[in-house]
Amino acid sequence: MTKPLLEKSNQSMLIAESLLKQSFYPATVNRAYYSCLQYILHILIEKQGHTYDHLKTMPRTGTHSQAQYLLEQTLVSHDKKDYKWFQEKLPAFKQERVIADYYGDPLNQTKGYEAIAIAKAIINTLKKHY
Amino acid sequence: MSAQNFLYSALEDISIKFPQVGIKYSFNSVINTHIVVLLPLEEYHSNSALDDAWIPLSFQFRELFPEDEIAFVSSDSSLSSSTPIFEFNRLSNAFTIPESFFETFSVEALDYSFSTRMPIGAITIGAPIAGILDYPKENIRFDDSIHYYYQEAA
Repeated sequence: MTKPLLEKSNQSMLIAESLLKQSFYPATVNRAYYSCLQYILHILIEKQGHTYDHLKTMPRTGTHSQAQYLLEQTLVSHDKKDYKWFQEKLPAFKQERVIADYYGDPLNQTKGYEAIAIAKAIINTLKKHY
Repeated sequence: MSAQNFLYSALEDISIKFPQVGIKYSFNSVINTHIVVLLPLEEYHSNSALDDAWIPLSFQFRELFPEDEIAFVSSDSSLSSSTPIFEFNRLSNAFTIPESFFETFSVEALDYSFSTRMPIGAITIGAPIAGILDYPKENIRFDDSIHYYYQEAA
């Protein structure tokens, strides 16, 4: 059975790593973040059977917000410590992505490496439970 | 009731139950998220009763205010703000390292300054160090006459 969201997540991560090698740091942060988001959607839609319509009917604004909230509802019952870590790290990563995409701040190589590291940490944490 | 007012009331309740826990609230406009910092670090990471207080609040808040986001973070999070909108149980010293450890060092660092006095008349090439050190010190004048010192020494 094909899992396009999982495939997209993997591709986004490979692209992030490639962009890092080419010193395109803002784009690295962007792709690393979306690798995470696509993995979350992979869990919700391809593993747990939620639909896009279900996400849209949730009273929250935006796919990111909806996906995070829906995932956290089950993650907290799996492992409270990992839930705590996840609900702290994902917004911080989101901030990095917003700054990388929309603000004029220059980004350095460290930011690129950190983005990939945090994306992999988030995905690996989710793999433990889903 | 606004989201902020709701949080003020709810966090105040938590602060009463956990007087040893500092609580700081701010709003992050980059990601439009309410940020609650719980400190010190060991309370955030190890106090399971504290977890049982704020985790249900996090879900309750998002049910009541579906347009709003919230995150409960530790004091070393990049989302932690140095200018909270409100706080409870303000801690006098969030760090556990005793101040006395640095006290002597810091006093010496504050008192140290470059000397502006030197044994001017004694500085010549070949002059014995002991003689120079024993020579009465004079104030160094930081004007054109400073060149005189080098010339005299030569």
